[in-house]
Amino acid sequence: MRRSPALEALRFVFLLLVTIFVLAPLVVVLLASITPDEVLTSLVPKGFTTQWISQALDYEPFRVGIVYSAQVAALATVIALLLGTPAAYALARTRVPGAGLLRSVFVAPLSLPRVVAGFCFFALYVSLLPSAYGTVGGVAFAHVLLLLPFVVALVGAGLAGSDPALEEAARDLGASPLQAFFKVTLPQIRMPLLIAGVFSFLTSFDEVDLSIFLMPADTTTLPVAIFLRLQQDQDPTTSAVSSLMIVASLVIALLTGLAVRRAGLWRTGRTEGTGE
Amino acid sequence: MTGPTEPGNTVKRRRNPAALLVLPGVVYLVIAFVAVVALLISYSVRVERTSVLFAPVDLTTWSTALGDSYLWSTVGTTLRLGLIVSLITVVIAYPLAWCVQTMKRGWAAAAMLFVVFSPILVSVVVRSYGWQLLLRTGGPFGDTFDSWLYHEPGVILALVHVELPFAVFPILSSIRTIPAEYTEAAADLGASAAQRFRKVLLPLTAPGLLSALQLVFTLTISAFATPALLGGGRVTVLAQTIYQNIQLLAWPLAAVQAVILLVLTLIVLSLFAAVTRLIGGGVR
Amino acid sequence: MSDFGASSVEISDVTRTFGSQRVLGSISLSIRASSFHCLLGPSGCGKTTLLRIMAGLDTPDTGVVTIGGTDHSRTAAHRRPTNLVFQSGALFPHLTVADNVAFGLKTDRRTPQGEARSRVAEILDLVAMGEYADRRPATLSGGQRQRVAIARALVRRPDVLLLDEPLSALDLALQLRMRRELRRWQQETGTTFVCVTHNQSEAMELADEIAVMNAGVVEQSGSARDLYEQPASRFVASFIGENNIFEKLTPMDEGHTADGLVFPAGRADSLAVRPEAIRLVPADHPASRGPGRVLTTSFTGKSVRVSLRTSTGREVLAELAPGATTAQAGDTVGIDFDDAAVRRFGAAA
Repeated sequence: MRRSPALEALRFVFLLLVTIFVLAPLVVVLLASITPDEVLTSLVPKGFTTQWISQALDYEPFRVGIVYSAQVAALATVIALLLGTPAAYALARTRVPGAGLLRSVFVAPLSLPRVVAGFCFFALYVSLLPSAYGTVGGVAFAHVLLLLPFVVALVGAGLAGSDPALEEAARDLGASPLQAFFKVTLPQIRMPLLIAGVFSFLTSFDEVDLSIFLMPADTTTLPVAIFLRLQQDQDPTTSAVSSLMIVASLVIALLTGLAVRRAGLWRTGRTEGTGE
Repeated sequence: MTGPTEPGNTVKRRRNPAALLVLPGVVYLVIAFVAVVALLISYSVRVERTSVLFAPVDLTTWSTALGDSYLWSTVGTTLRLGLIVSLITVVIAYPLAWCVQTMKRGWAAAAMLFVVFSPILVSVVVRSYGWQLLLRTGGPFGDTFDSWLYHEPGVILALVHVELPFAVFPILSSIRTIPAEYTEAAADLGASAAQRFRKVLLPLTAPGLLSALQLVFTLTISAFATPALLGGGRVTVLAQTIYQNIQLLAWPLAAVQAVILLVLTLIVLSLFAAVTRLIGGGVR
Repeated sequence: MSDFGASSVEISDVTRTFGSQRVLGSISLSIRASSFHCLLGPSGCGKTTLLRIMAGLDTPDTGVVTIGGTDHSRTAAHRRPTNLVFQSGALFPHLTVADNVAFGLKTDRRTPQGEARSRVAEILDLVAMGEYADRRPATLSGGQRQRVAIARALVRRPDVLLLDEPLSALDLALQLRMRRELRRWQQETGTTFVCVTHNQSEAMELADEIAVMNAGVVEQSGSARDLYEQPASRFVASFIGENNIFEKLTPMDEGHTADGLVFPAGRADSLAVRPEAIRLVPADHPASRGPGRVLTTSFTGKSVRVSLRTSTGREVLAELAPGATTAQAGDTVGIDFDDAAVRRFGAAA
């Protein structure tokens, strides 16, 4: 169905405005981190400098924060995948009693306000496990609550999209259940697993609302360090470290997107070849 | 498959052990949920700051908190922000989802999807900071929007930015479940473009619209970092007071406020569930 | 039911290309008013595209579509005197059966409410769905959904009703029953029906006239009987009913030979002989056109089907009256048929 040119123009303007709105706060951070000025006053950069970035990397709380966040994110992602993948598999492929209820239980943490979850883990640690407060393990353990719904949903969707008969065929051809899972099922869901892993890692790396309850102010993850510093003042060092986060996140997202796209294209390419 | 197995053995092993794979995840969630319900409530019925597991029940914190008008004004701000932000966000997200869905060039649609969804992967703190930079005095838009920073409009602007992808996602999914044939059938039956939208597409995307509203509302009323950074202490929401009270070592009060936030969330969820059932009752 | 419309359709030189793929290569077709016309062809032959062009859901690159004497080539779908029954039914899931059927009467606001209601009731009675008026599509069976879809299109009293594989989603028993009903509804309303199908038995049972399509062109158009008895091309011969096709006719002393059998003299690229035209005779019988070794025999009730292999390895199917042969698998017999039973394609002209 044809569209009128006026409507097309309106659509273009709308999409342009949305794009500007979405990208503006990210672009301004990037600009602030490479402009020599202490305070960014215009959107046209008045020069170029890397001094803020090197200062940011020298700033102790940020340096500690990067390592801390990376450790937490890696550990939380691994735990979430290890807990979530078998659960998604069992829910999709076997008859679990109360599967409907379990499915909603696994999604439930999404509705739990992160600050409430933060307070609860804080209470849990100070009451039962004082040694977990402020440790990589303690923070990661709490982050798993936020990641688990995504892992179960994404891996579950991947399993729903793959043919269960393939695994049965592998079993029929003599593979043990474990062999069938690792040689047939796992390769089929490697893209959903990749997406779930990347998404979990970035979510955990970026987390503030929950994390801030679980660590003392002197040793924190990177986003919490940024938050605490912003509460006092703003300076280009903060812009610099934020820029690093933006660039790293978007590059990782883009690479993942391309990997998924390539895998997808490869698959349709094959079916086209065998089609009529 | 090494030779014959004894029948008794086989029968025993047939009892689907794979179902046990859910157990680790469930155990984890049980710990988390028990911490939520038991510890949260137990902390809220204390007076003293104490980390012991069991403390005597005392409702003084509850009665002082509920009698405090500051709490209620915070709750009011929280709900007002939730309402305004979710309405604005959905009003932008609904046409946005349609625009993306009907884009003709594949690469353009992919690029637009990337623009819309990639901010999810950038920390909320960084995005809120970006808005601070844009709005602050002396900043690029400081002259025009000076009065927005550290006031509600600034908080709303940044929250809309943060929640936009979460609103687009359910709407886009509901649009994608509508087969092209429905629109074609409506056109074939004499419906004009406006009629096709009003009588077929809008009712069929209503569930997506509702879940977008619900998601943004619940996320907004529990948002912490964005109001804290852009509100500048002048706009205070429930999530901030919980954090502040922990800093002030008023744990029982923080627990009371956390319970209130949780209850608000549950009320909103059940309200939306009821409305969705009412509207979408017959669709599936 | 004289209020129903009926128009002829005239399609002239319609072409359609998707990207680099030519889907329709210059189609011309006449459809008589009040007739039941089937577009028959294998998947990907362009028949659905042609139907969508008639409905206005797709636009031809070139060519003219005339409906009832008016050029409708550029008319938008919602302003055409046609209505389409989708393969899936495409019933609106948020509306009841009655609201689905009333949808097309409300869009133009020309039908008064009272009349709309009685027309909906009338058409639902016609398709025997009156008692389901308040149900939602999700609660209906496949056959019921298709009845509603047909009612929804018919209630607008289109001049031409277009049907896109309307029965293909149904099970076989239901298909057979719905064929008879479709035919009855067409006769009762007198509306022109144009039905796309890939099923030749469906087309033969439904249609007054069948247009056989292949690779974007109409190979032949005519009654079921014409197509069966006088196929114009090798494609039609093999697509309508069963046929034994022979290739590479080589001249000999007496007549010609192809695939180890002797044919009457004449030029052709390929030849076709219907299975029911074939007789089995003793191998040394003078009438035998060549030997065949029996591969399998099977009894179907009305006939015995014998599959044979000629001396060049060509497989030949014979359909004989029960008791007409005692041949067993492994026997060698003579293959015979009348000269008149042979149809020739290509190079003949």
